[in-house]
Amino acid sequence: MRARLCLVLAVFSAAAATAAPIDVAPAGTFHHLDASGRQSLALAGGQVALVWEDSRGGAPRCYLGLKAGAETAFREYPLGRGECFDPAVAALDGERFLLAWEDETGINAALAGPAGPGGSINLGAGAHASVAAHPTLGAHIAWNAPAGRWQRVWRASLRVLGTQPRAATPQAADAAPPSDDQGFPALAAGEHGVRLLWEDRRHGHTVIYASASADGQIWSAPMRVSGNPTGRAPGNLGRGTGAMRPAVASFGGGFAAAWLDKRDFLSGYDVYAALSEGAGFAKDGKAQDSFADAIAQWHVAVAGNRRGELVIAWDDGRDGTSDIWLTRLTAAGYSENFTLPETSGPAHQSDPAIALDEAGNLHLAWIERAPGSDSSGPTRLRYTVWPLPKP
Amino acid sequence: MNLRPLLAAMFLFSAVSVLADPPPGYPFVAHDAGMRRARQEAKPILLYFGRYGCAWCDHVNRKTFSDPGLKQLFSDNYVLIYVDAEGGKRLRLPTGERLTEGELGARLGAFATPLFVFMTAEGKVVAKIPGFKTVDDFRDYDRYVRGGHYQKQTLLEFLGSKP
Repeated sequence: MRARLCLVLAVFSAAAATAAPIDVAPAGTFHHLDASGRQSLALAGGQVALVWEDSRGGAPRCYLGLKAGAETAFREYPLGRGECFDPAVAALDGERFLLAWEDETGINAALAGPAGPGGSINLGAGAHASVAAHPTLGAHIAWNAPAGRWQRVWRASLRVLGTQPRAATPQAADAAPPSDDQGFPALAAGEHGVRLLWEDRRHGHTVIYASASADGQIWSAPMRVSGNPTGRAPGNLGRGTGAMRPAVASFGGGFAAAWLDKRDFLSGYDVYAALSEGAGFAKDGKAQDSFADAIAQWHVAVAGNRRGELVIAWDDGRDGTSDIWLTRLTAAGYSENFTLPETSGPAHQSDPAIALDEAGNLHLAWIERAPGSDSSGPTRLRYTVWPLPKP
Repeated sequence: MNLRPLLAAMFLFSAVSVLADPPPGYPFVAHDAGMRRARQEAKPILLYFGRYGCAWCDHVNRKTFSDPGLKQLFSDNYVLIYVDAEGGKRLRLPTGERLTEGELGARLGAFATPLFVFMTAEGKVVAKIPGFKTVDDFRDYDRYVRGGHYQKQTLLEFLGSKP
């Protein structure tokens, strides 16, 4: 199988080599790229922003790394107070970024320019924040926070004043009273509006829901995105199979959502995706190829650009150790899965975060463990760029 | 006769009984408290990865964990930890690393639920067993773990050598 995949890669990557990977942060600590929606990497103008968490001081802290495209190292800025988790980043405009994270004070948001982050605002208790921005549709943040017995997804628009955002009054993603937990929101903004996806347990198992806004102000009622079946079904599925950790990106004139889905419950989670159709999403389907079917997939991320290119990334161990696997949307559907030399091989490569620039370069960050180390072994945080070849 | 309290109790019972949560009556605790208790009491750990809505978790709870002898055996001799394999709560590993329940599932390859992970008191994984298992299966796993056979044999070797 490896030979076949190498052939696929060779066809795909003709005249396209990855840049030498950069070690982003000191090695040996517990690096995490765990932003809700896997929004750990963003591009604004010529700037690259990467946010992560590591434990170099003995406790988890959040960091922002910034670099201009040609620079070979990231400038590093700490974020948050006390223990800090799940930082997220999105492009705000031509040179600035929108940031969010969770720390001992709750959910926080800030802006960052080429010189680093500005002052932050606090949105109260919560976890798993996601951010998105568009020049005419505004900036937005979503997170989950307790609401009585349940976790509920909240969203707020952000007004940018100088170097600091200002949040409007938070609104529940679903105006109806919650009947079970919601969580792990993922936001994306594009020329056709803003989309918010989240995990939702209202049916007694975890499914993916979404809400859409055409103008950044009025949001649709929740709609189900994942087609994993609810209710008893052949195979004794109980209340239903699981779908989790949605990611969403704008590309061309629409949006693409991807998530982990266990409807084929014998082989772990699979990568499923759905493309937007009007204000909703079309029927979903597998984005992985059949060589991935017998093994579990994890950590799905999605990235697109305005010229309509779309890439989905995840990790799985089909070749013996965990590698980063990719697929591209083509006119014939999702391509056969492929790896890159720097993100595959005997080491344990996982947790991809991806972004696509307007020139068609795939920016990719990931976590790496040395060959043979166990799951608690020391990690490296790595980054590279790969020019997408013509499909 | 006011039936509302009775109906409410029936509703609560039915809601609880269909959840793929830990089996009722067992002293399952959250991850971090369980890891601390295991070290303090020098007891092995049974970590139960369930999933919200998981039919086979419900099945093993009803068919296997309902056995009084098994309940006694595991309640007395193990620290019992329940983790939601899709959950977002944060845990602290023995290394000090913090991560979500779902991420712990990814680390331990929780591709199917239920997944039963046996650990030493220090948190070292000695066996990972997916899917529905019987009372006799769990008695075999107990002999493997508390008998220390994991130090010399894999679980499959141990089960294969069983008289």
